[in-house]
Parts: sequence; structure tokens; C-alpha cells
Amino acid sequence: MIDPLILILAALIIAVAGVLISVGTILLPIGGAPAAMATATGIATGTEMMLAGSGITGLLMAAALYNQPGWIIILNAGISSAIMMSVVMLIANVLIVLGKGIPPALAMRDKDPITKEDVKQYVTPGTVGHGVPTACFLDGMVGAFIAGVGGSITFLTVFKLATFKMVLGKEQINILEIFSPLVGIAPHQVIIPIALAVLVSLGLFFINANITAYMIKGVIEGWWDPKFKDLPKAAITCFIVTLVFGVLVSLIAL
Amino acid sequence: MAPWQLLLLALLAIIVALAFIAGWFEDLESEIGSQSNPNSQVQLAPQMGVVHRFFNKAISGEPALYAFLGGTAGGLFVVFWQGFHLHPLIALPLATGLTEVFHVTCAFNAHTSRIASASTYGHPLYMDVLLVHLPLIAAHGFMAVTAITALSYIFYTSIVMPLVPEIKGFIGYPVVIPALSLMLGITAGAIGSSTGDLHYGAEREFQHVPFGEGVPMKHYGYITVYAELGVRNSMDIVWFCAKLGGVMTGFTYGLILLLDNFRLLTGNLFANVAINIVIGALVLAILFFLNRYIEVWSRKKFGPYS
Amino acid sequence: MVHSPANPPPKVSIDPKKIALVAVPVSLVGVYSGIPAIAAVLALPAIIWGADAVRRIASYGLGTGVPSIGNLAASIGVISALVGLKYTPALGLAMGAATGFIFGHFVDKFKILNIPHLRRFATELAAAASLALMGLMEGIAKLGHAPLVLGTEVFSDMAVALFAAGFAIPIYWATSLSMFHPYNVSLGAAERQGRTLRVAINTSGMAITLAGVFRLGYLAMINQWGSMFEAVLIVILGVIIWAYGVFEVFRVCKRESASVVWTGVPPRVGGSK
Repeated sequence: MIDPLILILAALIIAVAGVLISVGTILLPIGGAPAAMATATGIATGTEMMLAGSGITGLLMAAALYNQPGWIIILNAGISSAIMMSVVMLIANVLIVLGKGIPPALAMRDKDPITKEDVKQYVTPGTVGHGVPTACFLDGMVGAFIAGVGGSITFLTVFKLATFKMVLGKEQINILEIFSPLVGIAPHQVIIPIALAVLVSLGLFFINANITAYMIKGVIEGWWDPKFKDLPKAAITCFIVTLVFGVLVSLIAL
Repeated sequence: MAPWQLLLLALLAIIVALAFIAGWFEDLESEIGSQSNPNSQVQLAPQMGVVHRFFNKAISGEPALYAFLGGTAGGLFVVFWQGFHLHPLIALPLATGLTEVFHVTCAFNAHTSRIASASTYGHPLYMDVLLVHLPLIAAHGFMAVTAITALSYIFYTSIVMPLVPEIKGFIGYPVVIPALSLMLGITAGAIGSSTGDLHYGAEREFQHVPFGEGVPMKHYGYITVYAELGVRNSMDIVWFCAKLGGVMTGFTYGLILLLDNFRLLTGNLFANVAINIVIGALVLAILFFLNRYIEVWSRKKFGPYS
Repeated sequence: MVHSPANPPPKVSIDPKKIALVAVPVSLVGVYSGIPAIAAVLALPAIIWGADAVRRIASYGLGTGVPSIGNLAASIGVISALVGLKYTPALGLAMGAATGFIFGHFVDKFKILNIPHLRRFATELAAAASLALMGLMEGIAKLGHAPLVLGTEVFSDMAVALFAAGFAIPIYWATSLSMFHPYNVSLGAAERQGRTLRVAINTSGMAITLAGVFRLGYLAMINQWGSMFEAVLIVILGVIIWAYGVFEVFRVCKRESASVVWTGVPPRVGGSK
């Protein structure tokens, strides 16, 4: 039957991954609907959807590298998510500059926090900034990296547990074997565990990103925004809800 | 080079081409139906007393809709290909064509119900707007979803059951086709929503606001209703945005898939996973400095607000 | 995104408690019966209950957060539905409701959202999602007609259809869409519960048809051509529900719009051009 110690440990790992996803979400520079009209700084999408988009790119990379050691999977997935977010932010800037003729600028501070240049003169009056300035770019890159790491930790846990049970038929599982490489398994044997792990990771992205998004309420510029101080509230809620979710997931996979 | 290595490069090229088409048509479809963030202005317009002839397709955000369409098309493709054993080239348009019936129902629900909910502001329901735009929405959606499903078919079979056995394990993702097309759909929607919609929302929707500045909130709701020849409808928006917004969205999606698959392919070809990490860090540094260059260039060229 | 201040509770034409009282027993009986056609079609009341719960939560001012609450509910629902199909359906329903309650409790305690009765609404929403997903997934994947009392052997067969062919993931998203779509398309000043729930009929028709077509494909994959009749029945019933929903929505929207005209020229208003 199911070993309760493995159940609790797996649920704890998934809960920590959930908190990482929540931290990654709050670091993304999201402008929401106003940013699409060049009225706010950041990316012009909803919070949870942008996070899902970048996290999923990381998840795909993790699925492709399924038989590598744990730290390689996690690092590569984070880098994939960061690349996706960076390309999106770069092209958004190109469109703002060439399509509408506006330089990027942020409005919550007078000087850009990274390059220490004066930005107040570039903001259009009546708006709260537009485009993706350098500080928001760095913010987004780091946030997407952390979210990719969180998503791939979940993927790794569920995938390895399901593989041990369904494909290899192991009865005794050591929790640290989650992070070691798999040898000699062809791709067509692991289709079912990968599909289950993908479903669970998708669900986890949406739950954690949504809780954080309700706290952000639409527009956030970066770590200097006052809304950033509410991070602990969202993190604790995410931890508890993901812990319950992790228990349910372990009941299925084991 | 051995033939199978050329085949790998050919696969990479076709993946990037399909991603370009998927991104381009995803953005155009969200403009022919006026979805997602710029649609908030089309929804606000009746409240400000502005009567318009745009199609108000407020289904959800673009990533959510493309997840639904991608997942449904992927699932129907598996039904026809693995279930009824049709050839993939026949199963693909059949699956995406049936998906469009779902899409058109959702779009129909959105327009009629939103106009009915705006009845307190006296906005009329124009039947010709409804009937003319629905087939166009289906057509643009068909192109985008076919590209996404074809991409997921290529990714899945390259790693699980390739026609040429030597290329097994080099490129592709071992995720089942419905899940893969759902995830590619979410990514396409997120990209289209954050890049292409900027061209629609900031430029085309508020065309009477001067070029070279952002759109202040006092203009919200007062969208451009009269256009080059007579009254504007969503078709006028699409031909304009296809020239810049759509192209940049396709470029973004193609670039992302190119960088990711290039990293994966190079790492697998040299059987050394550390290469992935090094290439990834290099790419991130290049993108950061490109962004910094664009920011500095635009500030020097356009100058402060005056 | 416009945030409205605290609204008075919206007027209803059907009492929410009656919807819950109908949905829980009907859908649960459908799941326990073990006959796939009945399980899939009897997911209809559960989806309507879910759409009504989304309406009650979101009318307090979520704005563009309506699709996200649907996704959240469906994410909790799909995992508790899988637990329910593996062990016993009542356990799945209970775990779904418990997770929804915990979510509502902590979000309310930390004042992340200021919605009255959030605990009750979140519990109802998660329970509706797990019931609907249990019914639809059983409709796709269950072979044989034995009632679903003890599930473990049945589950490993179901895992082939749901995960090897990959049908669990589109149906998860289709259920999420069918729950948040009705309220999202009726957002506005003149929103009315009767019209919103009619849109819910047509989206649940879409979900049931999709489940039927997936079942057709699954049976064809494992070469069980004899049981195809049941899958065709699910598809036909789903299409009937869908078509009825579309015609109803059209009739009601034409009646409730400010005016229905074939074409026209908008008047020029100051501010727009």
C-alpha cells in the first residue's frame, strides 16, 4: 500500500514548488489591460496567463530532458522560461517604440532602479508609464526563471513517482531518488507518467498564480511597487492550498 | 553530413516556419474578433455613449481560448489519426474544422450576450456585424489552430515514433498530442496578447490620439469609430494590424521556438547537457543588452515629453 | 479593468440552493451508476451549478478575473475527480469540497479578496467542478457497465484512455471553459441569471459532445467496435443539448437587446472620431 512518509514528503516538495511559483508571479511586470493601450508599464496580459505561458515553456524543456539528473532539468527549465519572457518583453518594446513612437518609461520612481537614469521626463501625462524599461526587464527575467524552477520541481516529483510505480514497478521508494537520472528508459514507455505530471503541473500553475493575481489586482511594476510587500500573505496561502493539493496528487500517483 | 542530420535541420526549419504562421494568425484572429485587453475599450464604449460596429468577442483572455481550441483540436486529431486510422494529412483539417464549430459558438455567445447586457446604454445589436464576422473568425482561427496542431504532431512523433529511426531522441517533446497542443496554444495566446495587441490597442483603436505618446485615461471608451471610408468594422482593423502587429507576434513565437529547440538539438547532438546551460545564459545576456540598446536609442531619438 | 464597489447581492430568478439540491444527487447517481452514457449526460446539472457559483462570486467585482476562477476550480476539480475515480466517488467529492473550503478560508482570512460568503461559494464551486469532471471522465474512459463502487482496477484501464491518448487534458479545459464562459459573456449592467444559465446549457452541451467524440476515438483505438452505439448516443444527446442552448440564447438576447437592426450608421459623438 502507500507509504505515508513518502506521501507527506512528496506533498511538502510540491508545496515548496508552489511557493516558488507564487514568488515568481509577483516579480513579473504585469500591466494588464491598460498596458495594451500604452497607459501602464509592463506586459499587456493578465498575470496568471503570462505566468502560464512562460512556465509552460519551461515545462516542455523539462519533459524533453526527462532522463537527466534533477539539477540539470531544473536549471534548464528556468532558463527556458526566462528566454521566453525576455523575447516577449523585447518585442513588446520594439512594438511600442516603432508602432506607436513612445520611449519606455516607468512611473513609480523618478529614477530607474537599475540604471539610475532619470525617467520622469519620458512619461506621458495621464498615464502611469509605458513599455518595458530595463528594471522591469530584469524583474521579468528573474521572475520567469523562478516560476520555471517551481514548475519543473513539481513535474519532476510527480513524473518520477509515477514512473517508479507504473513503469519500473518499485515497491520501496527512497525520496532522494527523485533527483537522480533515469537510465535505459525509452520515450514511448513514459508517456503516461509524463501526461499525468503535465496535468498536475498545469493545475498547480493556475492555482498558485491565481491566488497571487487576486492579491496583485491587475497592475504591478516590479519589486519597488508597494504591492510587493503583501508577498508573505499570498505565499502562506499558496503553501497551504498546495500542500492539500500535493496530498491528493500523491494519492493518485502512488 | 549524413542524411539524418540534414533531416534534423529540416525539422527545425519547419518547426520555426509553423510557429511563425501560428503566431501571426493568432494575433489576427484576436483582432477580427476584438478579444482580450483592447476589447476592454470596445466593451467600455457603450457606457460612454459611443455606438460602434466592432465584433465584441469577449470569450476570455487569448491564452484561455487558445488552450481550449488547441486542446480540442489535438484531441480530435488523436481520435481521427490513432482511432480511425486516417492519414495525418486528412485527419488534421478535419479535426481543426470541427474545432471551429466550437469556436464559432463561443464567439456567437459572446457578442449577442454582451450587447444584450449593454442594453441599458441603448447599444443596438447589428445583425450584419454578427453574420459577416463569424465566418472570418472561423477562417483565421482555422489557420492558427492547424499550425499549432501540426507543430504538436511533429514534436510528438519525432521523439516517440519517427519515420527515420536514427533521429529518435534528438528533437521533440514526449508529451501526448492533446496536452502538447494545449500548451502550445497557451503560449501562442500569451505571446499574441502581450505583443500583437499593443499595436491594436495603442495605435489602431485610438487612431485619432496623436502618434508619439501614450493613451491617457481620459480617452478611454472613446474609440475611433469612423475610418478611412465610412464606418470602421473589425475587418479594417485586421488589414492594418497584419502589417506590423501580426508579423511581430509570429516573429516572437518563431524566435522562442527556434532558441529553445536550437539549445535542445545542440545539447543532444553533442551529448553534453552543459552546452544547453551555456547557450541559454549567452542568449539571455544578448537579449538584455538588446533591450537596453532599444531603450537608450528611443530615448535619444524621441526625447522627453513635450 | 473596472472595479465596482461593494454591490448588493444580484437578483436571482432560480434559488441557488435549489440548483445545488438538484445537482449533487443527480450527478452523483450518474457517476456511481457506472454506465458511461448516463454519467456523461448527467454532468449537465453539475456544470450549471458551477456556472451559477462563478456568477455569485464574480458579481462582487472580479473584473477580468472570471476565467481565472474557472481555471482554479477546474484544477481542484480534476485532481479530486481522479482521486474519486481511483478510490470512490464520494471521497472525490468530499476532497474537492474540502480543498475549496480551505482555499476560501485562507483567502478570506488574509483579506486577499473581499467577498462575503466566499467560503461557501468556493466550496460549492470546487464540488461542482469535481462532480462534472468525474462524470465526463467516466463517460470517456470507462469500459463495461459495472457500478463504480470500488475503483482501483478500473482506474488503471481508465489511465490508458485518459493519459496515454491524452483525453483528460482537453476535457479538463473544456469543463473550465464551460463554467466561466457563461458569466464572462454576460458581464454588463443588464446581466440576468436566466440568460447566463442558458449560455451554461450550451457550453455544457459542448463539453458532453466532446466527451462523446473522445469516447468514440478511444473505443476505435482499442478495437471495441461493438460498444460504439453508446458513444454515438452521447454525441447525439450532446449535440441536442448544444443546439437547444444556442437557439435559446439567441431568442433571449434578441428579446433583451436595446434594439435589433440589420444594419445602421452610428451617430457621431464628441471624443471619438
